[in-house]
Amino acid sequence: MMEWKVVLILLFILFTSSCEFEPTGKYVAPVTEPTEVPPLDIDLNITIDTIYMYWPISINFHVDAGTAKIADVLYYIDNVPLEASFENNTYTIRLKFNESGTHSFKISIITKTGSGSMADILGMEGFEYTSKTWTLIYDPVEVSKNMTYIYEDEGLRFSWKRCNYFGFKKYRLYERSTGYGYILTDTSFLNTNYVGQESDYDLFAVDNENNSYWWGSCSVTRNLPVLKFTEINKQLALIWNSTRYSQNIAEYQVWVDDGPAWRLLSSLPNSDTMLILNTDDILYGKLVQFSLFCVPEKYGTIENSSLFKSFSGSYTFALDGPDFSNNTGLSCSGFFFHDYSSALSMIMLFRHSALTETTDALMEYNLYCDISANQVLLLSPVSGILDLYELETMNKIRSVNIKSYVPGFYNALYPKISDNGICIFSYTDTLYAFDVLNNEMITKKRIPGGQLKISPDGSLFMVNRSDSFLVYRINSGSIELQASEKKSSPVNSYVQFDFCPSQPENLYSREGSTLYIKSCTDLSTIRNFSFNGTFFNIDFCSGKVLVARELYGWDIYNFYTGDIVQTINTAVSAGAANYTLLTNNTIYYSGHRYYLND
Amino acid sequence: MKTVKIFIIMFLVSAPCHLYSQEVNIVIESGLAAFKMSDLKTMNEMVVKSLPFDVRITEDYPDYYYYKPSLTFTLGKSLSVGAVLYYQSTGSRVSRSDYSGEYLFDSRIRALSPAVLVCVFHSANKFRIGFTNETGVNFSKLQLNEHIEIYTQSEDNKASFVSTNLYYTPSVNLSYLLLNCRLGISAGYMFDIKKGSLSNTESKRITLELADDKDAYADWTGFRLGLSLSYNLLLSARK
Repeated sequence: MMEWKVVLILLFILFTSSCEFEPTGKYVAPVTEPTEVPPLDIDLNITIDTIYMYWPISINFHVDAGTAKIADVLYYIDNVPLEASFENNTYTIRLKFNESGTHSFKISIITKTGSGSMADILGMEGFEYTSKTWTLIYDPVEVSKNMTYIYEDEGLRFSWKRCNYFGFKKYRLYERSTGYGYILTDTSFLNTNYVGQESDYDLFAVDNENNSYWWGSCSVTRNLPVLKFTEINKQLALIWNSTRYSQNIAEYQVWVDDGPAWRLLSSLPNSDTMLILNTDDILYGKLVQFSLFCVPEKYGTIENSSLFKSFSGSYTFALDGPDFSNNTGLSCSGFFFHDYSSALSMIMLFRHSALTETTDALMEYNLYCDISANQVLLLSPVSGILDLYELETMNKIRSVNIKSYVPGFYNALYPKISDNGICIFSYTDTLYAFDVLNNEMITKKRIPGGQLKISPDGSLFMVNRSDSFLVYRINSGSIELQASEKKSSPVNSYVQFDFCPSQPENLYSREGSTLYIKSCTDLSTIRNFSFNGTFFNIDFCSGKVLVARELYGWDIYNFYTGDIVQTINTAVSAGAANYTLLTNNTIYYSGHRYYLND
Repeated sequence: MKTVKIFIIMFLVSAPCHLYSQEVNIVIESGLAAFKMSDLKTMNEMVVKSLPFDVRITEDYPDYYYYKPSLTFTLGKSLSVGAVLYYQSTGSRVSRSDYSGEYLFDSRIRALSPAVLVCVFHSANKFRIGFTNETGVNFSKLQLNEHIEIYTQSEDNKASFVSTNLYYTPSVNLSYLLLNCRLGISAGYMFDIKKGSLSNTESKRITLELADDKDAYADWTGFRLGLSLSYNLLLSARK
């Protein structure tokens, strides 16, 4: 009886346990699934299929979805989704790549449906608008190589690679030296105003939002007329070449720098190509420099110095002239000098022709070379051999081995050659006279060595020793002392001396500030005159003596009278003696010539 | 199983009363209970406010059936004592559904409450009217289940909390002797006189909170209206 009661109780417990409250209510929201896609207005209008990128770009667009709310704006680079930044309804996609390459690109805009459903509210439901897929090519330019130029008859033509960026609007070309700018749309530009100026050019690509991107650059070298010195009708002149852009030059201006600042020397029309220089303008030695300023026709007023510089032709400086100090052979037809040849990388012996105003390199300079007075023969002693050349052709006339005549002979030191080929040289206190043309030893005599000079006809020679000065005559195979002088003042006696070419029986000697003309017979003074300054040289063609004043300027003396025949004033030092020479009535100094009065 | 154990323990505890009682009644009572559950209702409102879409509270701890078996011992002519095992449950739902999916926030709470009672009654003919004082412990268990399903995607979040409350229920009851059984009706009011925090079953340190760090409590307070059927076991034994 008790068992069924227990069972009943247990059943009650199971019943109650199974009757636990179970919520069953449901709220069905009154929303309907949208079927019509709301219209979307996007102001992004890229009609091209390929977008070229040359720099990081921003793509901005405005989305108007009407009543629909925009849930998300994504863009895909190579199908990798990225989120666009936005402000209000304006979206910005910033595209940047580190390396050049090709990528796919598309934009996806997701709007809410506006149905009010949970999915709509939670952003899990929407309409997706997907753009076309563009090909994105990132092709950054190498600015320094993206712009070239060529000279054309009409002007300077620039060319560059086309900018295919979809937002591209125009090019801006800046000429850095002038500040001039040009707005361009093509990939080349012909600057018809080009004068020939040097300048750096910068090219910029400008987009629709007026952002500028450096697109190219180049440096144009100077193509202006080249300024040179020349002689025109025995007058020093500046000349310059006419270029193909001369029509763009309003006028030429020759400027000179002769002291504290540049000053305008002359203005000339663009048809001119030379300027005869006034004497007063050129006597400035090393410190004078000239510049040809090509005033541009269409570049406005040139005021600042940098702009001035870009339109200035080459500068012409008054450079050092040749060194006339050694082995100088002077004549009415020219002179010889030695100088370093940059072309041959050695010191060369040069001949300058006064007739043609040309300079030729003759041979490697030999310290012991000598040239005959008439400038026909050149003697070159090398290792005991005397080589004789004809200067006009530089043909070797004779080569004599002196060793066969003088045992143990090593080399002739400072030998001298006469116009007729008689050579004198000193060796171990013996003076030898040798007929090089005829390959014959004339004679020899024991005479202690000294500074030698031989007369043009080879009959006389002088020996200048520290204590005495001697004149010898070569006569019938013998050497006879003709005259001698004991030096009372060795330092000042016969500092510079030689035979007078026009008066072979006479010699000249500078002793201090006095020039003596003496007889070779007995060394008696025929005449003399004193000068105030530094003795340079005697021009026997014109019979004039060049003397530099203590201060600036030159005095020209008459060799025969001792009178000052011309005074030349200079603003600065007229240069050292080694670089100044008077011959054939012309002063050569520091690379220039100055023509004396007849 | 736990329920069975508690019931057996109560039965054994009441065994001494059996020796002196004139009646040993086994009573099965069931009825309708109302629940205050103010904190849990507040929690529902918070859920509604926190959601971005429109939802409704479709059920908010409504009145629901309770079940109360008990064993009583009559001592004298007008007093009875007994042991009770109370079982009650309720719950709520926050709901939303549309063509795109469904959202549910269900809470189910139940209490199993062992208690003792003392009843003073007066019998007249076959009728008996009594006043009962009942006190016990509500062992509550709250289960929360949030479910969202949008198109093909769905997500469920579940959590369980337990609490222990002390309650007191005064009630009046009227019964009528019919054959060997007594058929009764009772009306009472349950007071949750001491409420414990709802602690997470997985971590007791976590309690269910409302805003402002205020703990939420299960509150079973409310009217109780029930029908009962009792059977005198001693009467059955004499026969």
